[in-house]
Amino acid sequence: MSSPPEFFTGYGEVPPALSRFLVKVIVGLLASSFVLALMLGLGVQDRGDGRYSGEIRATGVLFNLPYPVLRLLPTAADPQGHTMLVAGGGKIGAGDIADKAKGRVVELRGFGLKRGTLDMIVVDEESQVQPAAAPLPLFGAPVLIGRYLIAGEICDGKCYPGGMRPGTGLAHKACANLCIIGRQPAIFAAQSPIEGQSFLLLANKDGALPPPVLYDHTALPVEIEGEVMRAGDLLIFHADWSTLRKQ
Amino acid sequence: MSAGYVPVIWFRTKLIYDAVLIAWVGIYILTFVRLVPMLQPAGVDVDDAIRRMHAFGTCAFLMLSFVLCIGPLARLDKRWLPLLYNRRHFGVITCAVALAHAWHVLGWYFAYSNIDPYVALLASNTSYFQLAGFPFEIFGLLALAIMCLLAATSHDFWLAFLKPALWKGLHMLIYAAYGLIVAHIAFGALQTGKYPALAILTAFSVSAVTGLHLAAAWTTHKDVLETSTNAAPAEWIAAGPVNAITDNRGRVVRLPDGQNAAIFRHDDKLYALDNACAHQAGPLGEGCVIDGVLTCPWHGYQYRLADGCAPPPFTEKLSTYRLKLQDGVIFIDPRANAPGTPVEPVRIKGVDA
Repeated sequence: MSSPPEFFTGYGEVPPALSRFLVKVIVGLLASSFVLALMLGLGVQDRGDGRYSGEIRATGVLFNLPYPVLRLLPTAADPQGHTMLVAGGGKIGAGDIADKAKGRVVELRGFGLKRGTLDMIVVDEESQVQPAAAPLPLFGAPVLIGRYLIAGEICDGKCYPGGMRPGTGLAHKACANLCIIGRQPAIFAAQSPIEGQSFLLLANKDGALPPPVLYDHTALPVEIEGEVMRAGDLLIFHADWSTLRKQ
Repeated sequence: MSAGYVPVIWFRTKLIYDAVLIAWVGIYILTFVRLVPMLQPAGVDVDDAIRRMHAFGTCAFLMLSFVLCIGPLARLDKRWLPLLYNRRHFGVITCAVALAHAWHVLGWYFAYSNIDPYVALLASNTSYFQLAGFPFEIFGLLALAIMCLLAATSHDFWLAFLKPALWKGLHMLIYAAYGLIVAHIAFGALQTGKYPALAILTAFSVSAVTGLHLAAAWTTHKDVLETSTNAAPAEWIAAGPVNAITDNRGRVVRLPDGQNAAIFRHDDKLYALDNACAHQAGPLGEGCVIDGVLTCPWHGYQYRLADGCAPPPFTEKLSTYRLKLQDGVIFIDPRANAPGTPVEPVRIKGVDA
């Protein structure tokens, strides 16, 4: 079949002038693929300083405040005791572990996850909770620090410190909700530190689990009023959800 | 053409086309997920799964933007027609890349919980009544459903089964899918405010798709001869001077009933056929007469000028129109003949070539 110049029929011969044009198009397209991937690829960033710190063991007393926390046994260097958040594997919280062992001295084995002052141990299975022979210390109930209006963002406490990278933002909102639905700790990342801390464990104003209204406000800039409590070096925000406002 | 169905039609130019497409996707994905992490400064640490979902997602968006530009590009410059020729394969590969994006999203953001990932996709964010935090995943899900439907029906069997008008209408849903994907990006990745490259590229892609379509529509409108029912004699309509049509090419005429006819000149004779190819309603008026048969610019379907029938063994037929010539002006009878009706051509030798 003889095609006139620059008329392409697919199954026929490609006219020479058209061939030269098509070679240029192909080279241009392949080069654009490389350049576009570089441009867009370099735009995906996570400069958060949180990360997994490898396998760890921690001995302390388990509490539900309302999410599981491990109050480590006091040492001479840290007489108040350090408090770690306790998360489960994947997007399933460690509430079951805490329910069974709360108030007891246990040794937890898992992976450490740390971002700034937020310190977490991720435990996978109940078998990693071992009764410890240490004496039971007298940890008091959380202490009221004061009432605050705090601006910041509601996050899931596992992805935010580095469980996912990036683990914040609206693209991550559904995942954050899924973590909180699974009872991974909900946290409030404050824009300005409170008592030197930027991360507060979230609770309802009576100290129970936050209400479902929270799911509409994750990953968004909001401000909430509530009471800030201290348990060791961990701050807990008993938020009054009726005061929640978008920023 | 229409003599029989095979699962996938491949010949040399289609194989080259598909190889270039797959190479394009390969270079893009490998650069994004392998080279970029090596080039990023220390401290930038992104999950491999998140990097892959960005890579496949942006790749699918760029491919869809480009595939939508091919049609108007080919209208504006015929040299782009070879890219239109195999657009179905382009669409199917784009759908596969979009599925890879969805698979990575489901396997990372919606996995590892005690809720089924498909349920979690629909149930974990239900803030449908607010702009900030709107569950943008739903836009992507709807777009993917459309793309899968179109990919599944991108075959001549479905074209013949649904008939060209319905098939074409169905496949116009690709524009709805594109709009949904733009919304998916705008309500999702762009909301972080930390992805200027994606914002710029999205704006550029949308502008290119819109601008090229408007330019092509304007050009097509300009090239179509609008006719008037006031033209004399009574049932005949003036369709421009004979010397406006070059040999082996055609001219499109809009008829009073809104249909387009295409008038062709070949061997000093004039013929008129329906302008819409029986295959995918391609613009036959932009085609060319090759070896005595009209050839569609989109996929090379061919028709005899004298009766609008595809040469055997093919079976497509087009409507034909009667023509006459008076003082160097072509007149067309706007009443279409039944598809495949032979019409005596109008001789122009000695009239006004």
